[in-house]
Amino acid sequence: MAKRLLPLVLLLLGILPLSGCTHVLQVSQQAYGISLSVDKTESGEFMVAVKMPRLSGSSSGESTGEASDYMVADATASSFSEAMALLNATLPRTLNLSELKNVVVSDGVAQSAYFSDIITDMIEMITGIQLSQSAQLIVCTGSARDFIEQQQPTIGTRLSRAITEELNHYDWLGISRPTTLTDVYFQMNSLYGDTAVTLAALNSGQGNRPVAAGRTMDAYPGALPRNGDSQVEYMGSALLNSQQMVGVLTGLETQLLNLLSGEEISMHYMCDGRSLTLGSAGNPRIKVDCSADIPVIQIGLKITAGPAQKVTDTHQLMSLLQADILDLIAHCQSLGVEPFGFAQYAAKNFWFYKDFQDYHWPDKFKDAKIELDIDVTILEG
Amino acid sequence: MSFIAERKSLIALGMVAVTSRLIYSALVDMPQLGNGIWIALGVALILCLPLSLLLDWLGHSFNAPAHQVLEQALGTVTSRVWYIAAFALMVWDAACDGRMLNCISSYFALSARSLVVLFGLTVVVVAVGCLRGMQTISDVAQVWLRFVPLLLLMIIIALFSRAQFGWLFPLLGGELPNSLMTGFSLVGHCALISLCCLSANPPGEKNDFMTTKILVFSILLCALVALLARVMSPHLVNVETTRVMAIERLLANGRAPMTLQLFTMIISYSNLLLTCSFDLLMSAHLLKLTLPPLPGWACVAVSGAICLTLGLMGWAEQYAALFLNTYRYFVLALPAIVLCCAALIKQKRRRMAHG
Repeated sequence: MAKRLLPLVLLLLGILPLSGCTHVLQVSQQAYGISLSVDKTESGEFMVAVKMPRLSGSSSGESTGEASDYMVADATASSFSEAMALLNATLPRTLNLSELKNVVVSDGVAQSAYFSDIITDMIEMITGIQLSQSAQLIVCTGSARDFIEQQQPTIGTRLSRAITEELNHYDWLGISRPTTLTDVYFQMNSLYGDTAVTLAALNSGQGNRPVAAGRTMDAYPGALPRNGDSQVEYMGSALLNSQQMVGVLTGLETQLLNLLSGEEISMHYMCDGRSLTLGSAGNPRIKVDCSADIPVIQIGLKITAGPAQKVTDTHQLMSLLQADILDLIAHCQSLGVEPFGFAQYAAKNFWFYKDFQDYHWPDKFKDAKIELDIDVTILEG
Repeated sequence: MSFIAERKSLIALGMVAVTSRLIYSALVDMPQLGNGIWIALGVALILCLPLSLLLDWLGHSFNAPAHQVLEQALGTVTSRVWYIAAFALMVWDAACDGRMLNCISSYFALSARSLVVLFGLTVVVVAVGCLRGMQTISDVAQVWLRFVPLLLLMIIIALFSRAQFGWLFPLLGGELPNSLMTGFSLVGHCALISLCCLSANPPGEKNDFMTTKILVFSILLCALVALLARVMSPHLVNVETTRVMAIERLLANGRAPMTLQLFTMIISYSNLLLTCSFDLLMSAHLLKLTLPPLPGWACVAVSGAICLTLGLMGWAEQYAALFLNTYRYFVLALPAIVLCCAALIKQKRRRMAHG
């Protein structure tokens, strides 16, 4: 009997300490961050701010969606990780970023030499399950802290849900480029080209600029001629190479970027004074030939256009689209950044990583010749 | 306690042990391989297949456990020297796998817990399980293997829409010498485990190709996991990757749905626990063969103590595992083939002399 019991007892003794592995994580002991921002102050220090619900403990348990239901706390230090440590040390609860929806960095930080180090620090925080892996990275023109302060649940009562739904909405329209922190880190440190992330800004209502006729989405956030409860605007994308931000794209350019990447979007497009809806009809066929000194990129893009009664001249539509897409690619070539994912196709020309690295795809892309073929399917109704 | 188990359940345990070893050696300890994993697995298959067929045929021809064949053919002293070398490698492997298990535990839940507590308790728990004997551990492996295909299928279905097949190129990945050496090191894993499995049960009247089945299944499963890993995260350049970061990319990688973490955690943790148990049990078995008067429980205790010492002294971390893997092939596989051939020739001569 003792022989049988002994292993069981030893096993239970061994498992027992593991059950109380760490302090119990009660919800009331945590400060759950919904948005995190990173700014650079005038003195060159880093300011990190986090927006979190107050969890006021009302009897209904539901927030009212008011601005007072959320608070923003910040800390400033000479580096990002120090600022995070100071923030955690000065909050009344343990900072918990496992439910983070977005990380907003100012364009000043994104363009700085420290940007890649900040991304690496954030990834190391993910490894310790301290930071949500699905948090999206957003670049904000102006103050990122002010941006997250203005994020409000204008429709609905929960900010976390509101942010997710509005980002999904802009994603569907194609005017944003949803990219998680992990994706940004991967693209910045891999051989497979560069990346783009959503561009955002606050619209104070002062100095709004009219959009060009027939080019509604060909604009940047922050000065769009519109009114509403929220000052927050998402339009366009920020281009990141392996180190930092190098340029921006308008909403229209971002839509075309998403089309070229095979994303499922529904974009508004003006052709001959008529308003059309374009969508993707499958992944584009892409072939990159690296045999010559100048690579040749062949793109076969399939799109849908509708409604049929508004598509009077398919050739004109294809010409306009072709011109816009070639302009977009040329713009990226001039900036020396490749966010389209062509590098994955270029890699097929090589057997080893070293050979592909020695080819210097980012430099070759600048001079690459583009052959674009667009196939339009007209949708009825 | 007994070091014998039924062939069918032993095959299952061997499959789990070899698969875990291949996956963690190639994907976690050598992330710089990238797509070179295919070369490594190809080399392992090409080198191991004839070795495993030879071992299966050898076991079937002589109809005795592998260690008895060795002792009859080469004498007690020579075979015991080999047992000691194999014991040292096996107990070191147990420590390496224990440290890997420690990393997984730390990643998922116990990041604030010290190594001494985690690793120490792991070894104690595994040793207690080993006291139940080879058949118990093998049966657990056999049951576990029934769940693995279902869990893997669910993971593949959930990940398919997020896969980037462009990351499979360039097809041959990292530097060729690295890929080849990794392939050779994988041969060492397969050879040692196969020999140990052959020693744990005498073959029956029919050649059931035990080691060949273990090898082929394990390499194919490792290839599937490698394929999943390669299409879910790209190869990173100029980035130092620790074991925990490599595990994070393998298990979660930031692009997989969070709900999949449960399945990947179950698979990875259970596999490693069984592999650790196998390593410790086989170490004890080899110690028993070296020192037959020592009781089974004492062999487990001694193996566990040595494993604990090696692990806590940091001699089972990533750098040590890589060092071991590089030279394991030369220590094991080559002598294993030579020994097998020598045993064959000597046995044939003896039969001719008698017959």
